[in-house]
Amino acid sequence: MDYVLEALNITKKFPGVLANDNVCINVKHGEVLGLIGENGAGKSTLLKVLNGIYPHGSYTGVLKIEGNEIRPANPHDAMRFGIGYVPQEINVLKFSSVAENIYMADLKLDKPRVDAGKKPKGRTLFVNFREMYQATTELLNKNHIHLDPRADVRKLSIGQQQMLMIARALATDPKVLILDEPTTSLSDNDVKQLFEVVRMLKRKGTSIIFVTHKLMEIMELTDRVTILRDGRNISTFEREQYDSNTIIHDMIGRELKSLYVKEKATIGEPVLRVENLTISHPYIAHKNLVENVSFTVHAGEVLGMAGLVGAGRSEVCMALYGMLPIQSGSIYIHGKKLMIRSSSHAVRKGIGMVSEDRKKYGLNFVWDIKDNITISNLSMVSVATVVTKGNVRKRARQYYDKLHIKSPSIRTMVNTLSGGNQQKVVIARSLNAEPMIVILDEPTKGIDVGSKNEIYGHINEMAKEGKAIIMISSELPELMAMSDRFVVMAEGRVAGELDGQCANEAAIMALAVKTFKTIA
Amino acid sequence: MNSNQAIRTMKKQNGSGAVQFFMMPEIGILIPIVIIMAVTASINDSLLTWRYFSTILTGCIFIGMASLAESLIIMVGEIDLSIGMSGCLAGVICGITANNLGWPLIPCILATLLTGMLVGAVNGVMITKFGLSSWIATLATQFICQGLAVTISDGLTIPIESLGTKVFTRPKPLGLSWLFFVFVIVIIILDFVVRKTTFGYRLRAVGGNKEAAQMAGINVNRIKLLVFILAGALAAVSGLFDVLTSQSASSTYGSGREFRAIICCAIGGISMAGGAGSIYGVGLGVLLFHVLWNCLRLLKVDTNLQLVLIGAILVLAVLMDIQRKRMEAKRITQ
Repeated sequence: MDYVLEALNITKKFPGVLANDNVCINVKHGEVLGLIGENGAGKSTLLKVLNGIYPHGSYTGVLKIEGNEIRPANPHDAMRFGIGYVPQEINVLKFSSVAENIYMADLKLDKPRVDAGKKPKGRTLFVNFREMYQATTELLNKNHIHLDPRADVRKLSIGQQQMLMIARALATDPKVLILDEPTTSLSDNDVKQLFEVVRMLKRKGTSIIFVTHKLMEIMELTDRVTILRDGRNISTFEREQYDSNTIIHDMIGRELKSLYVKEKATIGEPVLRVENLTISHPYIAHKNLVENVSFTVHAGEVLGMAGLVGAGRSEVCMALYGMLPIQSGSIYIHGKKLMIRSSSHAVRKGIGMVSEDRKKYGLNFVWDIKDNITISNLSMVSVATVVTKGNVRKRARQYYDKLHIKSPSIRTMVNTLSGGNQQKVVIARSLNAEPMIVILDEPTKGIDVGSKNEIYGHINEMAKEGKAIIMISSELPELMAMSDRFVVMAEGRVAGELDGQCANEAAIMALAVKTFKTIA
Repeated sequence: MNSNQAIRTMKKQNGSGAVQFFMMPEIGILIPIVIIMAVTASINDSLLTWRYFSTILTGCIFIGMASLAESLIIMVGEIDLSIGMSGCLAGVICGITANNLGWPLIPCILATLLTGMLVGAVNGVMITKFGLSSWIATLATQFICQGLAVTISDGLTIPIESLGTKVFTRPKPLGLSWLFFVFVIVIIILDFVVRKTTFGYRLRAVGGNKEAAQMAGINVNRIKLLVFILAGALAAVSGLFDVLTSQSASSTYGSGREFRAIICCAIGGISMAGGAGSIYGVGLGVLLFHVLWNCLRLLKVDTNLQLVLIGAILVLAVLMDIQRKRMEAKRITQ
């Protein structure tokens, strides 16, 4: 048999939506198949069909493993047939060990004591930890994953937790391993390690379906790509047949002149100055998350904050927005020193923020678009504290149109929107408060190329309006393209500042991996 | 999606008049009320007399006022178990100021309201400043209020004849007490506050997603504190109703009221996850609760069995609400 996994003519309907329309994919032995498409292209639906979340019968089409049809009724079934699945969100039991996490569904239990003359039957109710640690060690060694089986999961980094999830999927020895956007929350270093593990698995004959938004990964890792759009197959390319332009074209169905569009705005007066900002660790005494950070942002300027995940970039932004207490240091807005006490205070002082965690800090998911946009500035839509519906509609419409949010109407519930459109609502809400300083923490995280492109446009527009912008991004090419100047952070400190002209990826990375002698 | 499609979707979302009518959460609750009344009336026709119905309505106000307080707390994403006992303590304060201190009516009422607001403020500060869970904080104040009420009143019933408020005990006008109209006015005002004012928007935003509200520049702690103080005041009004109706104050009033209030909120369609619900819905929830209670009494159902049926109705009401939400979600996706 040529293919290890085949999905033929998968059609899955939801009320009013054709999520998958005759989608076909196939995976060869020992290859990495890239599966890409914009948000809403039908990737998630297809994955849910493959791993049994949508059971056989709830869709039409045929699934085959090594030529034999399978009919998984649930994820456990799919696992038995040899389909391993690593979901996008980190999903681990924080208060257990690595080994317990891996064998949670299939604990290694003690065998009962064998009495003379009787047959041993089944197993006891007690976990045999020695056997479990043994099995874990073997599994991790076999797959070159460097984790301690006894380690406490809550102490692992995000990258290590991602590796743990992969180890968990590998415990059942799958024929096909599905990785759903595994690099979303990983630092560059972790991504490298992940790639190594993927290549090693491939060498050993495991096939991998690698779902991603990032073109770089498609270029570097995959042997073949299948592109979905609007629930249909658009194209499948061998490695030698594609480059980033063909992929972008097929993903969004139109030519994107260039992914990153940067329009220089005139840079004016300094708006925000931060001096010696120090933020202490919330739980560990005498440890600082951020130490002596200083920088300045000017009107019309995009300041790129570069650094590895965990370098303290988000913490600086959260503190500027009044969401984290500041230990020491001073903040000057237009030269006036002030202490930011809370997010409402920050908003009054003209600071706006878009958080990287869209689920937690994003939107009020029981509300529609218009209420979510206008909530950040109710004084604009109310008379003597009474909110008027007409004003809400008018005000929301203004930003709805400005940001090109795509939905049936401004009364659409935000939980029905795609990730890219939700992000636009978050940005609209923050712009609605009319900030002078806009903090964008990973503004394009987990959204499709088309929406990313639009968001870059909005960033340019903000800069042209004279707003001072701080942008954090873990995608270095994006940050390089959009920023006028860079502050590189490492281990909670400023490792260096770089001017837009003289900055290149190597220079930024060199600073980002800088280690300081001591962090008090 | 192009504009034509968008318009079609919008038309679909609005649906036909009948469907939309049923989809209104308030109407969803009216249906079981009507069914229960019809069944009971076919067996015992005294239910349909205005005299009987007016006593049901008048009986609603005590748990009703507590339910309004609880509904605000649940909408902001917390829970308050001290509602019943803070009302009781406030009532005892009313009795003490009237009988032992000889204060006139208005200062007495102010002292009562202030007591409730103080308890609310204590709850709010514990939850927002010290990060206690609202279950624990308000459970503690429940005990504290009960203990204080018994201590202050010496466990005695305190008469309040000196206030000259007998007028409130008379069923007038239309056979309803004056207090019932106070209750209705409070419902109307609260509904306006929750739906229309900036405070109401912020309250619902905090209940819907606390972190998102914070990112939107809302002072989450201040909103929560205000809501707890407001709920404390409403709880005090509920205690005041007890006192004015019975013309006496006692530490035995209002026990277990917070749980009945939570039931009424659930029946009335207040989302237990916070952020959504309607004040009129709560009013109808309270009415359904009392209609059911009175119907069971008229049908001569055993008192202990009544509790079983009330519990079953609660489950049914919530199931119906879930079903309604599912239908609504389906309608939106279509």
